[in-house]
Amino acid sequence: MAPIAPRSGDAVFANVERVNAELFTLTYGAIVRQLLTDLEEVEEVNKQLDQMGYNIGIRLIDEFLAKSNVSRCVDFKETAEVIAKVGFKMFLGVSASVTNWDADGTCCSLILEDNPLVDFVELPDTCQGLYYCNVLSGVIRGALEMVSMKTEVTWVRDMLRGDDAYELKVKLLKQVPEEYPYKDDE
Amino acid sequence: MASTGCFIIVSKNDIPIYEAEVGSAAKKEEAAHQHQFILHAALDIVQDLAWTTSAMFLKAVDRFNDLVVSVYVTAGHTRLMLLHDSRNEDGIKSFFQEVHELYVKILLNPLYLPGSRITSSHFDTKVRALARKYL
Amino acid sequence: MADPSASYLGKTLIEEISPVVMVLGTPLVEDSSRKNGLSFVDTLRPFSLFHDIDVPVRTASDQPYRLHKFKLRLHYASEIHQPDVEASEEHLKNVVTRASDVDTSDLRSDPPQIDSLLEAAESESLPSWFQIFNKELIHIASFSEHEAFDHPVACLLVVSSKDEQPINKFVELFDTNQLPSLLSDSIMDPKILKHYLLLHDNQDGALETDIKMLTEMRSTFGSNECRLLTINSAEDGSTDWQDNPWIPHKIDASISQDLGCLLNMDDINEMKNFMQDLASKHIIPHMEQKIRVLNQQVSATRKGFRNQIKNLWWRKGKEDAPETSSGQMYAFNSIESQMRVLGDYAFMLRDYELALSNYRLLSTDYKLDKAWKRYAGVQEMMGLAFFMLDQSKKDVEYCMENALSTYLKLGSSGQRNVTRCGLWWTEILKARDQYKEAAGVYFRISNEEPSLQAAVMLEQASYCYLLSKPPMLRKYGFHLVLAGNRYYISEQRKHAIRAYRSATSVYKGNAWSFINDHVHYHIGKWYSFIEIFDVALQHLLEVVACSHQSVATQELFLKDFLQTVQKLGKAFEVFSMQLPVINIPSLKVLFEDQRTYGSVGAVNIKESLWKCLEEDMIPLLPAARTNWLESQPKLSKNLKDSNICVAGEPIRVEIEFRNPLKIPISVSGASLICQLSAEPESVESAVVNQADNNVDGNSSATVFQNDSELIKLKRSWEQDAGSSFVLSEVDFSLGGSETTVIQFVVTPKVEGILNIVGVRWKLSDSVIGYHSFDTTVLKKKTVKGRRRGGQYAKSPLKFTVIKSLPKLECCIHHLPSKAYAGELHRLVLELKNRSKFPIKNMKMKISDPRFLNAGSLDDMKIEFPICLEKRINSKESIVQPNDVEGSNGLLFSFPEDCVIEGETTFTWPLWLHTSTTGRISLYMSIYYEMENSSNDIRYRTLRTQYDLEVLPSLDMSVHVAPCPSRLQEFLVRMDVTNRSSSESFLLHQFSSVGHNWEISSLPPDGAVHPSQMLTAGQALSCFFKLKKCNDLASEGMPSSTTLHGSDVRLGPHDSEKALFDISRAPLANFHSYERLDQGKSIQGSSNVDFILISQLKQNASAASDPPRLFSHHSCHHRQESKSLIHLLVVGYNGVQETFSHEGCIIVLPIVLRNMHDACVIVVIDQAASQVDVRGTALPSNGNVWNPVKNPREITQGTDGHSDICISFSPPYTQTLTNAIWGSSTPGHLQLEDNSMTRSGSRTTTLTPNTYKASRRVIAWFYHPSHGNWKRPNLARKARFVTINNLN
Repeated sequence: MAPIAPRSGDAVFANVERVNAELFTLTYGAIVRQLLTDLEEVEEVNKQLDQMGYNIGIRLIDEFLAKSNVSRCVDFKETAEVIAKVGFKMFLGVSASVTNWDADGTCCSLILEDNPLVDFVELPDTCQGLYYCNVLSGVIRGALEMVSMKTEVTWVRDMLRGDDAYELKVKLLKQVPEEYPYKDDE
Repeated sequence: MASTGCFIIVSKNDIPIYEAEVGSAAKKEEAAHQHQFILHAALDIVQDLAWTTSAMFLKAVDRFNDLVVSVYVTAGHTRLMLLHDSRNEDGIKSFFQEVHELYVKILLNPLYLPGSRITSSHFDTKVRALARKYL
Repeated sequence: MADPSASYLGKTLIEEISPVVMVLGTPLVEDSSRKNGLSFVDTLRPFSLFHDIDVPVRTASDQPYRLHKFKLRLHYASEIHQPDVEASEEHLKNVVTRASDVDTSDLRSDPPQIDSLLEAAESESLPSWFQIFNKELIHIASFSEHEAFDHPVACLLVVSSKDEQPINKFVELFDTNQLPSLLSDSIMDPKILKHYLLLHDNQDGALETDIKMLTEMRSTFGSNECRLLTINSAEDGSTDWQDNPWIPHKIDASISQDLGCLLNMDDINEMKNFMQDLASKHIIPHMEQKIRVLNQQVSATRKGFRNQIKNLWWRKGKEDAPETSSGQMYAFNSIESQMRVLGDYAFMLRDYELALSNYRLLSTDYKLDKAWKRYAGVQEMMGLAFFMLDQSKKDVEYCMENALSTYLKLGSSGQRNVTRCGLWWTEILKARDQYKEAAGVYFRISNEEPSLQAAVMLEQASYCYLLSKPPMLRKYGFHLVLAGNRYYISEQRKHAIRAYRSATSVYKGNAWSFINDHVHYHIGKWYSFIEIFDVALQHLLEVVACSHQSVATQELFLKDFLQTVQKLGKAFEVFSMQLPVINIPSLKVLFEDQRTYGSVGAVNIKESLWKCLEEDMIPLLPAARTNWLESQPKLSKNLKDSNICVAGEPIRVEIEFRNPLKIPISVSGASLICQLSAEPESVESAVVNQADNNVDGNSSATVFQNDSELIKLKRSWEQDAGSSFVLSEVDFSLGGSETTVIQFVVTPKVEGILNIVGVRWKLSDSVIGYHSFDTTVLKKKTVKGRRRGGQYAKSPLKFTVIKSLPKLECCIHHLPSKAYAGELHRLVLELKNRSKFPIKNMKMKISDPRFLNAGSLDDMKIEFPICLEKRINSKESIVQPNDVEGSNGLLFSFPEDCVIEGETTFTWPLWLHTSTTGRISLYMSIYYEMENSSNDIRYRTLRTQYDLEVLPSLDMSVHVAPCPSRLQEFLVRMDVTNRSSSESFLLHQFSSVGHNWEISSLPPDGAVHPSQMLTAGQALSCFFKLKKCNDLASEGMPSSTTLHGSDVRLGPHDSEKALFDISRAPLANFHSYERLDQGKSIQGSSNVDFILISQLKQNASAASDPPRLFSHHSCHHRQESKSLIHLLVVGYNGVQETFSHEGCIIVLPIVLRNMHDACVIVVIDQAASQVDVRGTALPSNGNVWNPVKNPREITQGTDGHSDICISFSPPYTQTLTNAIWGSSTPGHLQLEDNSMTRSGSRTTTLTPNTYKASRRVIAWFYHPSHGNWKRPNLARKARFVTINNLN
């Protein structure tokens, strides 16, 4: 039996290495800015950010599972909880809350009250339609894909667009089943 | 609050990147260019003064009739200039300091290109609020 | 600093603060001097300035020094008073206007540049009239009573020799009541040095009388105060002066032709001498003398300590005296006046220390007396004295500041002195290179002045800023603008313009929008006032497109701009006008080379989509050539640098126009500018030399940055209009800050190279704007992979026009925009060929054949929907499979023989089946080749695209369940729901498609769902019987291709409605696409498809038009079955048997059916009695089933079914004691997939009885596709066999 999963990433967050928040934010900002100048179309930038996030996610998940010894999640609900409470805390230092589940528990929203990525950021008119934090959605998607959950992550609310919080809608498309050696039909 | 006041931020290469009429007096049509003229002319004085002192707040550097120009020069040689007819120097000083902080925030915005015009409405409202508070 | 007296101020002081000689002359004197066009004073004036009069002087303290430069100021007594204001104002105005005429001649030239201004300033070449003006300004303040240096020192009395009684004349000339006020009311000492001059006019006779008179005078007035001066001794007009000494002194050079025409050389010399010893022999000694006297008095009364005390005490004493600033209290003989005189005389004789000391004392006194004006005057003089002594800056500053501020305090009475004092101060500062401060002073005094003077002051201030180190250009500009304003107020427009123009050089290209607008707007307006309209427009153009101004301002600007244009009177043309703004990156070119577009929608589809749609339809380009060897280079040449378009076919260009203003503007006659020429290189050359020979003779007022550009555009506009191509003209109006996309059309008429160079439009019918498309922008954009893929790698605006080609136009008749799901339509595709030439082998590709595919010509013969109905003899019933499979059926090639002749139309039926709900868009591309293959294009494609919206109608689901009793039969339940909002449907027919299936209604006699109506929202389920008819005829062909099925008519039993034939096109095609669409994963012959055909219930009104047919398909239903093997033992109720011979043999037929896809081996244990199979036959442990090798099985096992076989435990005989079971079939038999077999089990009994043929154990095992053995399954069947004995 794996050790009981930590319900919050504080412990883990306490002993991961840290970097200056402003450096982090500005670095990310520089990336986005560069993307904007290179691809000069907001849609492209969104795609690119998501792709980058995906690439981060598929690597990050191992790190995550290794550092935070969470046990197997029994269902998607628990997965979402772990992401919100442990994952975000561990890598962003903030923790999200999981709300409005749909009926069959395959779709929920992660709500971030504050988001270190977007300090000082303000969307100019030229960049309306940019999902500044689109990298996050990519990360979640990639990470979950590594644990055989195909998900679709979309932004519902975005403070940069004048909403009151950051809301990520995580939708479980299909759960690739683990392969057993043989199947019985009884 | 001052009856007239025109606040303007001039970038390093003498381009106004933010302008606001913060006077309580009704804004007249011809006032706009007159204020610009005065402030623009005052830049000459600023460029002399700025290198003589290390202080950011060079007090009232220039005057035209009853209008006084107070200037605050940031480290990046961005100039916050205020044209006013009121006399409270402390208020102006603190006004400048707070606006400076706001401006630094704007600068940190990765999507803001330094030296370009400041279009942020949020910044604008903040500045006007400060003006009401201090001037 | 250099010697102060050498500075400009020094010189002026020497000239301005110098002894005044009051001249009194008789009218005759004037007459005789008038003959020279000069007044007497003017005649003498040139000789009143001595450059080196070498006079020894002694100071009060007896230091000798020599005076060199000296000047006398000659004035008529009538002039010696304060000049009145209006006159002087007028005078000043004249000065300025004259100046404006002089140096604003170059208004048309470009405004001066900063650097040129700077070096001009370095070289002191400031407008010279400033100094004149300043002098005049100072003179206004002269002859004030509060200062002594304007008081006459001497008095020159002149009498003509023609006067009778000259002696009395002399006397009455100097009579007090017509003396200037200074003398008359005893402000100055009336005992003034007098000098008597007798003027002799040589033209009236000889001198003798005069000599007598002179002696007489000498006797009366004293010997050396009298003198004789003869003039006009030249013959008439004989003398003309190469350098006329009087010219520089005449300010208005109006009557300069005969100045001094009657004066010859010795006259001049005489005058020179006269003035010389007047100055040296009389005035200077007199002043020197007076200085000494006064100095002694002063030092007696005021120098020394006790005098100071006494003086103080005394002043305190007359504290209560009436306090006036006018200073009448000081009579000429009062000590203060005398000190002042002393000071001023000393100053005039350059004894500055003495002057200064007196001024010092005096200033304290005046201060105590609060005689402010005098105080200020003294301070002023102190400042000047300090300056001349080259004393510390500080003192000068202090004094001048005092003086200025005191004068200011005095208000109006001091105003003139303020100006004078200020001017002197600025001169002091300038002399010491303190230009910044000087400018400040100028600004200060400008506030006190009426606008004209103020303007001049401000302009001088601006020059000071320019001269200051480092030059303060912004201040310079600002003050110029201020000056300009003042000039404008005082109607000096040219000066105003000049000031603003030089200001523009400062503000050029900075981002201070309001400043720029102000400057340009005003310059423009003023230029139009003085009617230099083109320059005016040039400036107004800068502001007319200002987006940041308020609405009112924008309207004002635009109004003035347009008015000026009207005043200009001719067409005004602007290159790249910013009103409206053209968004070049938004430029989009739509043209047709081999790709032609049938609908607007089709144009906006991505090129890539079309490409992949057409990929296997269009041939590769070289392949299209007859002989690639010679046609290849031509092709590459044409295609590499330009797009191909066809003569007579329009090229559309879409550009975005934006209105920067908040007020609406109207644009008319906007159209493209194109050049069409036979061969590419001639285009450029032609235009260029047109540009050249146009530059000189360019009459129309064109104002723009680069002439050649505009002229190029204009030329190509004028030359080509209408000649070789047709342009469209667009009129539109833009609301406040509105953006619209305008589409221009150019249709080339002849072959050649077509260049789209720019666009031209008319703003509110007066201004013609040009804008050129520089393709570099577009290139840059398109490299980034914008619109239309790589097509823009070459310049998008250059076209090779080839000669006209046939072009098909297509339209599809009765294509609905809205349809219900499953609706089936017969459309007619109509292709129009407008050209002369026929069009041959056409192919058509349709994006999704599931919705749309081509019919055959004979679909048209019978009208819809009869053509779909079953016919008795349907030969072409079988659809060819390759229609479906080949390139998943997208490509349809029309029959070889069908050719569209010129100017004919061609129709072909299409079938539309809207199988899914929602919005579907169909892409269709038709490929065709032309008979006359022009060298570049042999084929073309016609692309069309249609959108239609599909509403939900019926949806059908089918469930198949095996019939419990019959092996071959299944129960089919069809659930159909009407999802449409309002419509109601008539169910028509339900058909099963698929290899050897047969459907029949249940109950068998037919009438399924008698009222066939299904209203909106209603659901319904019907039951059918599905029978598998195993006709071995159909074994041969694969199930997917054959589509003959069986139908059941829904609705009233006896309805004679014909059934629709689902086995023919189009239904068959659509069905097969549906099969492909609905999961093609499931294979096998045993699944069945169903088609429900229904009709829309026509309401009475629309009864006429043909019925709308629907077909719904649901495919790949397989009869589910729980168990793997069906076993059916046919039993008997009774068997009659006479046990005549040995036993009775009963055969129980067994039907075994394998429902599985794999081959199965079945073992039937006939005699297995009540073995507890559950107990023993469990798979887990194989000890009951013990494998035995047996050769026959092994041979059998080669086909991989089984390498073990199972033998059962020995038969138990508890129940069937007297019956022996046997089998007619081998103990195990092999069942192919989905096959069935019959076997029999034989039993023999000896005694009649009722037997229970029970507990037969069937074991099977099969070998599925992927390897591992499945364990045997067990089934038990029990049948009672009763054998009753007959006897």
